[in-house]
Amino acid sequence: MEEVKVGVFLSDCGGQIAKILDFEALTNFVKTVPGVTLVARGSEFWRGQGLQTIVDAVKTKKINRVVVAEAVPKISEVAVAKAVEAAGLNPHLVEVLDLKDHCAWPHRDTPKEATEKAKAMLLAAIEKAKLLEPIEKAEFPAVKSVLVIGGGIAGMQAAEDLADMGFQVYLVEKEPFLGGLAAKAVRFFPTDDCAICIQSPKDLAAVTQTSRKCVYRSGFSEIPNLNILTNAKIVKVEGSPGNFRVTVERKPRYVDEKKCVACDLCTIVCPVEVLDEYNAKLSKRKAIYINKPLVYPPAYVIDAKACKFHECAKCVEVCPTKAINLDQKTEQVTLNVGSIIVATGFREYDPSVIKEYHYGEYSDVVTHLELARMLDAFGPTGGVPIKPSDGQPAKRIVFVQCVGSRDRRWNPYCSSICCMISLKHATMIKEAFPDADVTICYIDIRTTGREHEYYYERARDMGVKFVKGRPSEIVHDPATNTLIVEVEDELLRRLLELEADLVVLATAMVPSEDAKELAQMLGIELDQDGFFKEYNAKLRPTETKRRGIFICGGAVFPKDAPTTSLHAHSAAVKAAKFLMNGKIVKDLKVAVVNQDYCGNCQFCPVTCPYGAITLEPKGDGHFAAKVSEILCEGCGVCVGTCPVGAIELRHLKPSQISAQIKALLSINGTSKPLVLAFSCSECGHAAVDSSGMAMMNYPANVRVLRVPCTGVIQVQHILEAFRAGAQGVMVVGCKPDGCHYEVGSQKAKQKVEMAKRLLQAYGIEPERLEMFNLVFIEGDKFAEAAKTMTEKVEKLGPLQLA
Amino acid sequence: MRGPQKLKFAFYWAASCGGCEIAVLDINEKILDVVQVADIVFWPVAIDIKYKDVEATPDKSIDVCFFNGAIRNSEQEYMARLLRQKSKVLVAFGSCACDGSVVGLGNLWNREKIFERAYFETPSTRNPERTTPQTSLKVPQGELELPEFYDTVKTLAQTVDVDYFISGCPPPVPRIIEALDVILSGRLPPKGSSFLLNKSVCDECPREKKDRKITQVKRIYEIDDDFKTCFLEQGVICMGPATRGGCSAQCLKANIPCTGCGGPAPRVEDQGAAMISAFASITADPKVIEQVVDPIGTFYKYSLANSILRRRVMR
Ligand code: SF4
Ligand code: SF4
Ligand code: SF4
Ligand code: SF4
Repeated sequence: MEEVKVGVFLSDCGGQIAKILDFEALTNFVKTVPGVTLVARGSEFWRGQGLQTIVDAVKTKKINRVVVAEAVPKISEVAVAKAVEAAGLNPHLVEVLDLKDHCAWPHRDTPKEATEKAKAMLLAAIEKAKLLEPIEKAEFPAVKSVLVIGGGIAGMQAAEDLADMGFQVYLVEKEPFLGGLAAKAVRFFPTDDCAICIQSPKDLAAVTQTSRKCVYRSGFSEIPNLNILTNAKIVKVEGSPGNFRVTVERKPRYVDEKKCVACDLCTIVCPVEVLDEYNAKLSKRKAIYINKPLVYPPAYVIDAKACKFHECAKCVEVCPTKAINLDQKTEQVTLNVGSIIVATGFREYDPSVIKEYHYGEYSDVVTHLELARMLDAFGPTGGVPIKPSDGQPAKRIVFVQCVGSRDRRWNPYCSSICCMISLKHATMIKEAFPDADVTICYIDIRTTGREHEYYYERARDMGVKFVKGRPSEIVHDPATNTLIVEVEDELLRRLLELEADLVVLATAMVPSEDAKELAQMLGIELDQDGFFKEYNAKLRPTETKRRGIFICGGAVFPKDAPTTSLHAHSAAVKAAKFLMNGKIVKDLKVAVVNQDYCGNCQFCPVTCPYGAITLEPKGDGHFAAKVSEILCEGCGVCVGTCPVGAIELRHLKPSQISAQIKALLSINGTSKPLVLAFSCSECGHAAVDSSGMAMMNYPANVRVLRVPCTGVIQVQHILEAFRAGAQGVMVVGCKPDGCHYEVGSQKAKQKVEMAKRLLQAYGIEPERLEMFNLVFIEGDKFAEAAKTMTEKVEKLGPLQLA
Repeated sequence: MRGPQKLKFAFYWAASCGGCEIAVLDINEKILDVVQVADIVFWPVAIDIKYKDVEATPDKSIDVCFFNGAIRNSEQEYMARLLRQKSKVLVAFGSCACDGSVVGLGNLWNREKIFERAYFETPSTRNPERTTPQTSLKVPQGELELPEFYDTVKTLAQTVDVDYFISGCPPPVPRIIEALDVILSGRLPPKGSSFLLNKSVCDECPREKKDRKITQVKRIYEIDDDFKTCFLEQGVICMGPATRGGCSAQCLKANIPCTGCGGPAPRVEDQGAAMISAFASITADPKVIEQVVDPIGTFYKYSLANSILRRRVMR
């Protein structure tokens, strides 16, 4: 290996921090450190002349490890790395530390102590730098094609976007027709336009300006690059981001989509009649059918559960294009895609579990989706709300809100769109039948979107009645075939018994049935309510923790149509961004397993938050762990788990952690006991930064050692710190549920708890070790914690290890 | 190394239980190969040779010394230094010499506490004069000396420079035979090597690994062992994942969890801390952590003296 030559560049931030830190002393100190061959001082090193100095040192002085003490380390790091790379040095041979916010500012009242701490910080950075090794970039080929799962609004929208951008798109829908839940919803609030609206591609010449908003007439299926697979579901997902192999199982349609001309001759001859589920079982359809008025694909389908097949085969005879094949089998297709978008939507909660509402028992108690079918002019009742029990028109209609929502017995959350759906249906009824008696029983009417409140006001103006209260029971009077809704009007404080012909339950919206299975197949998470969980609600709302897999629409949480559209566009952009270069380029800041030492304990595959570790068979029933370079995010949770030290992070080796522990604690220079704070590079370090930026004071005996994620920390490191002279140890990480690496902070917490028990057994006060979960804006809390920790260990007295 | 002259071997026992001596005998007929090419010049358990005889031999005249036992008192320390001086190759033999082992658990107390327990408190002791071992005693015939009992147990390598290690309580016989073969062949591995394996016990264990979740901590008698599933998954803490292998997982094969006598894995400094990190990382429920009652007894049974903190802080 070539000789290590460290160049140290000390920025005094335009002389500003030289008023606190003794730069001459620092320069002299650094010169004495073995391995350092160059020390330069300047006012800034991350740009301009300063940066040029670094570049020259690399080029002419053969400096091969660069240590830069500079403010704004996050930006400096990038700038310096780029510059040295251009000068021919691997960009990962750079170590940047922040003497301003981590030393000078917070310790400005004790300049001498600050200078001593700065020496320790510089020494730690140099020792770490000496052990730095080059890290290469890797390129992984990415197929420019996307699988979109779910053919509702979200899926169609995302598929259209991506196909327009030139990606091969596979849109997979489990039902025989596209449209999803929205297709059954008749109209959308608050615009009252018809439900299946989706922006169609601008460049489709066949589509006129007026039809651009209508899915029925948009020519959706004709979009180039868009492949629609209905009646299909995902059964297996293999491969890795950029290169997934997805097995799709297609149920037989028995009708060739390409040949069917939708002439309807087959339904005329079909002798089998069944209740039509699409129309809430309020009407019948044949065993061969199509949803009305028009859907994609415009081809009939045979209901395999109802059809008599070769016993009958009448449809086959009449079909003019010979489109029907009764022997069609389930087939499997394998798709090679670079990225996957989950748009599987949500569904209505089955309210029959709520005994007091007697859904399923009293046929005049229906859900919104069932009512929607009645209100559809093409629907089973031609747009008239009826009593399913006797088919008579319903004149008195009561809506019950929050059925199965906001109720700890069923689903604690608010499904967010049911209030608006009730308002929509109530006004639709009032509009068509002004005499109808319509009441909505609600807990709160939630109208938070644009124009939503006006929608509510319009309903009031039209005579829709509102009762604040959650009905306690729905009773059926058999004599009159009338329903009685018992509800306490909370505003008027009286019990009401509302007579109704039809009761409509505004049920909760819950995750689609296959969400769990799909999440498992894709290796992504669901939230506590079973919806697909985003990587970060604020910044990465349609990404998941697995690269290349995105989520959107109601699959993430119940949404109205406009929000669903927006969400779908976001997912499409993210997928496009991910694949647009046809390759994924990545610095290999990943974990590597030394398989000679891996003892096959099989722990790390379980703790890795990204499913990046698999077990490679080694014969004779033995396995060894292997990290996928593309999936690994470099957190080090596996390193913090491995009981034999077989895994290392390329960007932070155990030797580098140990070297820094020793260096940071080798110089005290204060009268206080040394405290070492391990901090993660994310929220933890951000909190340390912000305490300095805001010039909050904390004592200089507190030293910070940065790791990628607190999950990498092993109990061994904590013990090493005590051995090296720390009197107290802090672990500063993200909030447990805000951890940038999902589980790291929580694992660290568990290790800290365990280590505290161990310390106790060692006769060491467990209070000498503490975990803190902070975010950027909690710099004050970091300063406070540093002070409290110092005071605490001062009180405990010196720790004397044998 | 093997010339016309026979090799000279020495065996010594310091603070140990004697099990390692038995392990040497357990190599059975292999001993015949050994004595053909080597003379045993010192072996207190079997041959009557005095310390002064050893003192009289020239430095580095012993080819290989197998040293078992930890360093608990001044006599053991003296012998460790002496044998180091007289031997070309010094092998730390067994868990006590390598990591302190059960003897090293004495580091949870100090001399005072141990004497108090051993000489006053134990129910079978009657000691009204409160006599404890003294390092010297004047009697009419002169002054008697006893070795000094130390506060802290040390490993062999913490006392003198050690060339090779073979841990185990006692070391597994097949590994002892391999070590002897290697030594007799003269193809010595790099200094500091262990004659055990690089992989952990877990790699040799026949038990099935399933979801790798720890949901509770139990004693072995509290579970209804299915004789198949990994102990950890049944709630019993097993040190196999953090322990250097080479024993063929013999305890596991006898349906007993590994307690860790193989010592830390090659790339690990602190066996207990390594297992604790793994244990805490895979535990899904933080409550499980509270169920660990004796962290040192559980995770450091054989390695306390060789751990980073080495001993309990006494007040
Ligand atoms: S570093 Fe993190 S992401 Fe990479 S393999 Fe380890 S645990 Fe998984
Ligand atoms: S944690 Fe370590 S020993 Fe266990 S499987 Fe992973 S790499 Fe191997
Ligand atoms: S019983 Fe112990 S050695 Fe065997 S698999 Fe489980 S943890 Fe590993
Ligand atoms: S299984 Fe564990 S305790 Fe048993 S001999 Fe092997 S290392 Fe020692």
